[in-house]
Amino acid sequence: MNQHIIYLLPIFFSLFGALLCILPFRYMDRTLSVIASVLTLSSAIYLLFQPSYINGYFYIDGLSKLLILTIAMVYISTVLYSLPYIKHLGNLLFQHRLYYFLLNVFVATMFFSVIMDNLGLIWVGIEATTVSSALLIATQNNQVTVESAWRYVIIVSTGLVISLIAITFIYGSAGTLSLHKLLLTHPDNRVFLIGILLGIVGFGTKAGIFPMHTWLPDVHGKAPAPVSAIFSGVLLPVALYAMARLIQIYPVGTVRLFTFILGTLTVITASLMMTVQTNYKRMFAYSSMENMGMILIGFSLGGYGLLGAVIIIVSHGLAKSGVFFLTGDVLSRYHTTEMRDVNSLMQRLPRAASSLFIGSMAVTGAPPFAIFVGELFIFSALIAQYGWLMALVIILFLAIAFIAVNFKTGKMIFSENEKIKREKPHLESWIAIVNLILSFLVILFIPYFELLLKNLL
Amino acid sequence: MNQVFEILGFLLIVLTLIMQWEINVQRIIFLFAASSFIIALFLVLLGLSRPQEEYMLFILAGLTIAVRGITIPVVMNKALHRLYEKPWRVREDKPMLGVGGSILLSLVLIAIGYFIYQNSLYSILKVRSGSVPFALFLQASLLIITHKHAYIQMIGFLVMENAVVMLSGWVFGGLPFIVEAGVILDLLGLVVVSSLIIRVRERTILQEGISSEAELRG
Amino acid sequence: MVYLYSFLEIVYVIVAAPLIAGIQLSLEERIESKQGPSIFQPYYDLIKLFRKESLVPQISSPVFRLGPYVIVMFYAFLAMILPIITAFPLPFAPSADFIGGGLFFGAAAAIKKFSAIDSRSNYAHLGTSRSASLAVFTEPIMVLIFIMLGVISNTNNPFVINHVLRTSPQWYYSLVHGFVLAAFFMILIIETGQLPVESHTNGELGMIDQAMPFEYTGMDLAMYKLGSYMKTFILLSVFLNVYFIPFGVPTAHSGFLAIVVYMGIHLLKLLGMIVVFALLNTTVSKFRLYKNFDFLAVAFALAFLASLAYYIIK
Repeated sequence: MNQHIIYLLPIFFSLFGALLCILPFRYMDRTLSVIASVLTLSSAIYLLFQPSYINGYFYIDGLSKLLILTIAMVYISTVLYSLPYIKHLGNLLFQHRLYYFLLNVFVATMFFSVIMDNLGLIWVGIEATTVSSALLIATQNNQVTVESAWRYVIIVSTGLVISLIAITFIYGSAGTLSLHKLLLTHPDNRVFLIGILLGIVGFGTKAGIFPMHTWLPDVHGKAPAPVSAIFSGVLLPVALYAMARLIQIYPVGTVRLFTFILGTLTVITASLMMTVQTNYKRMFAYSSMENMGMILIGFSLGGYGLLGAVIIIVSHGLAKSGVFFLTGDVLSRYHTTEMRDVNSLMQRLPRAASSLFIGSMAVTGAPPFAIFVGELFIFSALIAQYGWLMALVIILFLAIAFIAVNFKTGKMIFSENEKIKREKPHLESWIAIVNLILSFLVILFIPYFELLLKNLL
Repeated sequence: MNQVFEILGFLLIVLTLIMQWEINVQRIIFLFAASSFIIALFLVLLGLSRPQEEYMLFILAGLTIAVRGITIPVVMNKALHRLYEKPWRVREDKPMLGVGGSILLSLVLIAIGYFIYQNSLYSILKVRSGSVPFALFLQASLLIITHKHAYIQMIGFLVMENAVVMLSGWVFGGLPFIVEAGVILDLLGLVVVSSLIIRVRERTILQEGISSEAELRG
Repeated sequence: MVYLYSFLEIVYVIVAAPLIAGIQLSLEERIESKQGPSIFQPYYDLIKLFRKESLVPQISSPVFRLGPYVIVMFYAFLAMILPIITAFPLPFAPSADFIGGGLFFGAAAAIKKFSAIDSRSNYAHLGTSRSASLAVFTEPIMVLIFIMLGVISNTNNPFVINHVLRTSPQWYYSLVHGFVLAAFFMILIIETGQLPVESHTNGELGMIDQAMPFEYTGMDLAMYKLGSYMKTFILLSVFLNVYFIPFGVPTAHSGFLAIVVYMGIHLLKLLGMIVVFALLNTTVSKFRLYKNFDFLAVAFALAFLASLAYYIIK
């Protein structure tokens, strides 16, 4: 029993940090959050080298472990970035203590969602992430953020009700909700199939998948930078994790085709929407959506497509959080999220500008970065299953997204203006740079990922 | 037993129909509390008809009354009292549909739910009058779509959850206890958080007026 | 013998209808802690009006004069064909089923409207148009209700419906029956002019049926009033005897005494309804004129739910 407790260490540390955060001591919240996140990260790395742990309560395999690691890494960088960022924000909805409390609880609920064995409890965990993160969006109190927080709550919860219905269908037809039992039984009837499909649609709401993605750009556009980072970096993949499990327990053609279509439509919508954005945070939100679509396609293909999807999850988590931190830097200097008001970034904030350029290359899948490698894996599986034509269509839309994002960021960065001098940035952006470097280094660990995911490939 | 369930189901449909045309927010909250009590009664009856799981279902019924029937309406009512000087007069200002329109649309949705269920799911599930929870679900979505007032949208979501409880009990014999308990706790958290958000939202709207929402295009 | 029953039925309706109206009026006043008129006041009114001279507007046609008498005749005919004191068809009953009865009600209402219009009075026109626009919506709901009962009993005969509801509890305690009852009750409120829809004052903003007989006087007015008392009486009797409390209505084997006793029981049933109406009239406030259509929408919803319940539960 004692050695089993280590699997709970991440969730334990983050909850511990949360509980201590609300104590009314000066600076206690920040110090404790940093300590909690460091401990969480070290336990997550330690977990990576432990064997899989599957019993009636927990289902922790390679996929869960990699997600835990990604959450822990984005968590620590978010906490570190929040320290200066939240301090300079004005007009807060609540005290700093409560911000860190909610952040820690939010992370704990995400850990809860990815380690549970019971599909119903996974649902509970994902709904709990909605509860704990809704207020984070409205950290900066004004009408627009509060409105977007409200939309987030109502759209996402309504969508998740659909997956709750799906879970009743699954339970009604299979008689169990336990993942490892469902993997063994392979029930074969139409109720079960309908349950799986509804579940994919429902969790897709949370992951920003096509028909119900409308909350995503609003929230990412209006939330404070660290919150956008953690939403985009790990919250969306956690919802995708539930969808991956649903595909895993019933990997028949219908489910795979359905998921593939949803993923493709997501990529297409996101790419087209990206071209018309005038707000850089919204543009990067659509870029996250496009990446989620690619990950979903990877999950639907299985095999090396799944490996590619996991590579994208990890590297996108790091790179996109880095990019959102950088947008926070830009926002703190320019006080606007409109692209036409942001120019000659290179002259004013050279370090942020160069890292933002690298970051936007990274998240759109430019060649040397890990997302590119992940997409390569996905396309190799895609061509094998659906042929060249389908692959070409998706590549076309990825290219549109690539051009749109990089052209627009390039315009912000390289436009020249003689009068503007270099300024001292408001915020230190070294965390973003570290994240980008880490996201680049993901490439080195791909063989290890393959080892971890052996049972799924 | 099936007939009793049907009566309870139709009672819920009628209650939701009333919510559809009612514009007074406090009365809608009261109606929601009533429908939660009906759900609890449903769970008790379900427990009586299934002797092997009765204690779990009784506990669940108790939890339902405590959380959905009492705590959530009280929390929402308190929030109303804090926000407005005259909470009993808070109402949906410009309802999208009049009474007649909302009733007719609601009826059409019930009929659609019936036809869809009968033509697709009935052959699989083989449950008599299983379309009632689906009809409730559709009605609740209509409640969310046609109302602008945040509290009513919230109530629509909660009615949806009630419909799921009814669906799981009626059609499949209930979810595992731990999942249901988790769902109820989630609901409680969601209501607390969203009543906070709603309060801030309404306060800013009351103070500043509704600004253009061009920045949130979806 | 059965012809005697028919005659008895007509006499009973004509004699008892004003009494019921009188009791309701008196009861409403009593509930409001007033003295109230005697319960026989409608009889006194009728007697007084019968003695008075009738005046006719100069520009009106004979329709104006004939209207009230035809209406009373129609209602007397309806009294013979509907189950009011017997649960078995009397000699004239086969002449019309439920739809036929509905048509007679509709015809009576139409004649009433024609004769009211013929008075060429502005107020009568006002009331007629309002009443017609409500009737446009009540008629389909009535038809829906009758169809649902027809679906239950596989017939349109009120006597058979009475029999089915009396003898089969699975229909009497069904959701379909419940919704039909609720819808029919709401229609009754409209047709008999009870409060949320119509108040018995002469305020021109809200009056509906009240405005129609403005130009009638003397004997014509007496017949007109008798007609509306009979309409209320017959509708309530149908509601109670066929749908709501189908029990205890004398069957063919019961004999004359049972029928006479049942008249008393029937009055008690009606008294129960009257108490409900009186409570309604003293507690509920009147809807705005346009809100009446929402009321109708609710009635339609209930009738429609009845049909949905029939299919869903089947």
